[in-house]
Amino acid sequence: MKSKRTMAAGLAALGLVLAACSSGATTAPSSAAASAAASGAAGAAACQGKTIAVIVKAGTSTYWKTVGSGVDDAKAEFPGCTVTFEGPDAETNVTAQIAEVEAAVAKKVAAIVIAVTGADQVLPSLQKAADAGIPIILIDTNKDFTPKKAFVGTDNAAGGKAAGDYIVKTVGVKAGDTVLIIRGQAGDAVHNLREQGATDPLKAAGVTVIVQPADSDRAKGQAVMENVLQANPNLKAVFATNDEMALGALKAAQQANKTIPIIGFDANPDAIASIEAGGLTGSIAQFPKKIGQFGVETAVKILAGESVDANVNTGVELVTKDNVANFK
Amino acid sequence: MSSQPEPVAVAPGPEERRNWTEIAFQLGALLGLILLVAIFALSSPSFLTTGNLAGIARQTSVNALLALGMLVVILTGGIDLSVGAVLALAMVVLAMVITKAGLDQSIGMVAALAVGAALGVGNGLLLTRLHLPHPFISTLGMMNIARGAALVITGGASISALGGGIVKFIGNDEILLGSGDGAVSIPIMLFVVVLAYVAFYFFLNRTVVGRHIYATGGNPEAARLSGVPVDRILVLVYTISGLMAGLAAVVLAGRTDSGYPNAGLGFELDAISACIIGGTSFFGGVGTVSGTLIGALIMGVLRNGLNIMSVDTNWQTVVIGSVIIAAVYVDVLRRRAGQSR
Repeated sequence: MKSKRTMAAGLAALGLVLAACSSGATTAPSSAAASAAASGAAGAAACQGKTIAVIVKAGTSTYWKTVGSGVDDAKAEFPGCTVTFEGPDAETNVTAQIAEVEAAVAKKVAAIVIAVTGADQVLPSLQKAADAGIPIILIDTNKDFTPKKAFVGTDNAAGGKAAGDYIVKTVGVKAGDTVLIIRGQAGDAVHNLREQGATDPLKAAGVTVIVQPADSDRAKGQAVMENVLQANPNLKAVFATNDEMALGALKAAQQANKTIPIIGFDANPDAIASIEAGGLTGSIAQFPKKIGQFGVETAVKILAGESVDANVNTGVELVTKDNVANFK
Repeated sequence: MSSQPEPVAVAPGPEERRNWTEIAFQLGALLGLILLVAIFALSSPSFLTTGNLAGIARQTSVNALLALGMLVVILTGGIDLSVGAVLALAMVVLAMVITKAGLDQSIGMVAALAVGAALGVGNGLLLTRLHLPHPFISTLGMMNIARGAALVITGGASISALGGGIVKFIGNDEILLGSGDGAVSIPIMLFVVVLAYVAFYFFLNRTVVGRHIYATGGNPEAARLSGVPVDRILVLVYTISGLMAGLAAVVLAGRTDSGYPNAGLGFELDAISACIIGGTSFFGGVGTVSGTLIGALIMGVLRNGLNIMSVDTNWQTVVIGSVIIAAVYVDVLRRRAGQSR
């Protein structure tokens, strides 16, 4: 139990890492934002005098502060609304988040926009909120939760696909070539999506795909790369479902005196520095700020009685040497 | 090992009392390792190559060092759940000393060893002075504290590019033996591991303190009555375990050329597995240095072979669990055969 918590804390920290880079990002899909703006007038009227509670996994961490800056942007769009922003002191503090959900229900807020922390412990109290007629919008982390009105967050499959497409089109792997995908913990939903997203275009191009797990850990990514290179010295490209494993794989490739294109995921500061220095070939960036902004905009649309997409994609972008300057 | 003090009037260690049971016991885990190597060698031509064997050595080193520390702790009937987190804290301290403070890698290395030893002393004192009920609790607490501290001081970010020096030499560099096609690269860290195992062998089997460690785990009350300073021994073994975590941190930092706060997640379980696979008893008093090495090698060979054969991700977890159980069961069978003799 405790060791799981530590692991969660570790993963949380990994999340932190995502934040720094995305704040500098300028490009992101704008369709959702545009449509929200179109309904702005109606939206402002719909939530006049009402409160939207935004609850994240940890109120003070860098990543969630970036999400919060997106919430602030949305706040400015709808001056009539009261938008609160809070979260527990740590992502592992599940009971604190449950208390925040219960408090929001007691205050009779108009909508709850939440990044559910922990496994599924918060869902029963969210169910109570939904039973009380409060619309629930999940952000950042999707859950199998029937009453949810929408999920707003990174489309991890799209991120994986961007990496797979790049390997096929730009790296130029051909049918019969071998590509390695190093993924996070077996069974982890986020890594499943990233892996599947990358595998599809690779398989479609006739590429042999090897998938091996490295638990999102740099040293394990390095070991996996060393081992796979032993059996497959002609590896043409590598996609790792997070940057830590990508950086480990890079170290292994360098030690074996091989130049193999390696793409990571998260565009964390280490990966950005490596891309700039000519190490990693690329990394998939996410946009936490958009998650906060689109989350609140979606809530406002629901309050205005408009229909919303069940999945609002906040976009991903492949960072390479060409555009790395935008991400520093 | 010329600096090793002459053994004086010390009872022979268990690895010197070579009766049939002991040999069979040793052979149990070794048999498992040989079987595993044979299966992988027959399955893939890439397995038994010098390049891959060097790879296995590199990938096993960190666990092999942690397992040595874990061994002395388990010998006293204890457990150290904090080693993975202590490794992480020592590793990020090392990385920060080098990159943020701009000091030489040797200072970073000393800092990592000091952090490891200090937290180990902490574990020992929590147990003997605060009288926490079981080391499971004290080291579990330390695990969370060390992991948290590693996250706090780095802000959750990894630190890369440590440059050159002793840390890179130990964790990354290799010596080329021979020349031409027959040349073999031996990772420097392999020498560190071999040295550590030889030192621990002599320490546990040929020194008074080593014998006291076995005695403490075998029967603490009897040990206390016969004059073994049990509390001091306990503080010592947790300090050794912490120190080994610090040393493992140096190796891993050199190998990955970085320090990152999520390093070592779950390493404590790998270290415990290596000890138990190698025949160490959870109840204390029983366990050997050579068995621990075999246990660590089984874990390392297994992970390497599964990668080389590109075994499906979800199945790998099942296979690892099955092999651990099988390896220990071979041991149980061997021991039973030895006892009925």
